[in-house]
Amino acid sequence: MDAIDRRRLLTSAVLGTAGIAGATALGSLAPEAAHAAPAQLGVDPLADDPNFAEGRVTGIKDAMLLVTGSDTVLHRIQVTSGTSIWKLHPTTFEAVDVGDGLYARGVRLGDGTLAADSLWVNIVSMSVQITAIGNGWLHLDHGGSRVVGHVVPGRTAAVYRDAPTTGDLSKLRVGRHVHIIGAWRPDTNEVDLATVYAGTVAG
Amino acid sequence: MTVLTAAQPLLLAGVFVVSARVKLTGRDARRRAAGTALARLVGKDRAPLAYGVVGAVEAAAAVLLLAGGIPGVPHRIGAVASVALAAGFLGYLLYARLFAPDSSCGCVSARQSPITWRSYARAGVLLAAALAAVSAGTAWPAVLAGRPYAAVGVVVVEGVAVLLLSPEADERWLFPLRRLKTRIRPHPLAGLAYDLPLASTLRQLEASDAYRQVGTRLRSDVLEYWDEGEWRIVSYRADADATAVFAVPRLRYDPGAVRVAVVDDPEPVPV
Repeated sequence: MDAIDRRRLLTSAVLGTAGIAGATALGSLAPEAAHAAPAQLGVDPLADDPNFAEGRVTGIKDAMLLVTGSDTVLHRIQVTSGTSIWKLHPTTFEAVDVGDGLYARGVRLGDGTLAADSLWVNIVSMSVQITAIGNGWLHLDHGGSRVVGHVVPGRTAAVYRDAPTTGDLSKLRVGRHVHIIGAWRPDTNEVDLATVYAGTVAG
Repeated sequence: MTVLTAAQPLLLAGVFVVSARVKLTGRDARRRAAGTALARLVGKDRAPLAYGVVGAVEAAAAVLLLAGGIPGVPHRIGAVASVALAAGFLGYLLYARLFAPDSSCGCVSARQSPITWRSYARAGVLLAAALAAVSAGTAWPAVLAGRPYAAVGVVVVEGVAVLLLSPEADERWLFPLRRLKTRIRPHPLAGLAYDLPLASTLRQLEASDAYRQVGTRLRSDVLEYWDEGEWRIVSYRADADATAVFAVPRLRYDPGAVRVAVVDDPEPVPV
């Protein structure tokens, strides 16, 4: 089954245009069923979460990422077809490069490998002040250092207070303090902007 | 020429007063001294004290500069002190550049600002003003009384130049100017090729009952998404090798309309 067929299948499952074996419509998903097995954190507050890893990619071998943590711990991260990969937007394994920074969440296997459920590549989150706005970019002041935020049309979104998130960035003003989520361009002071929270604090 | 040189003590005194006031009265600023290059020079613990001492020296220099016309006070003594201070600032900036390039300048305000060419230009202007003041043949009250407009004009022009060279003051004049520009001309980010960002869909999705019902079963972040007519379809990995697929209204905000299905994975797509 190729990716197109798969999408067609999933689309018809959720929109109910065809009967799919194994699909569960919302109505039959009772809350009790959903909460039958509550998420087990099971991590000592002071201990490192074994199911989490962060660091810079130092090597890629097949579907395995070799990652050096900021505390110099080495991680091996196994990526599968069920792993979500975020790099400014949902993407595929090919988009991950050596030198990228990442956060990974998954399940630690017996041999120490982390089988990743989710990867967030080069993600950054910071509170900044807008110091200038230009055609396709924002200059941002982050504790005295300048960060260049690139606007990616169709991807960069803005949240103005409680209004629905929008692609309209024309309400941003110089001097405003905002919170940004973005994808860092490794070893630069540049960020591709994912979401700009203006007038709210990102949770 | 006389006006130009003799008016300098007024400019220097003004700058020193502003700068000393921040260093001596701003408790916050002194605390932040630990983030300036000064901390590197004298040690983190002593930085706030050293910062205060510099402020006191600046205040003393301002007093000497203004007292320069009073009989009994040599009119150059303040100017000489200013040369020493201005040269010291320039040296401090060069030191910071070489040994603590990431630190804040901590020059004339509590606002953090990195050291840029403007910091050097400003220190250079002050040094030049101090040297000019030393070369002045007359004290400033005499010139102010003789040619008041010229003297005030010189001080105002120089004061504006110092202000323009101060990154700390950007918020007062540069930002409003930039805001004005985006107001009278079209906003630079208006009219970008409009396409609904995924972030907008996800925020709507996360506000929906459908998402809350299966939220604890989701294992991954967004796997894929695509548009289908008025819907945007978003898929996640769920537990037990299933895929959770949501349909979110694309062009309206209506979290109540979000639909979900949990599908036993048809067939994993190879990586």
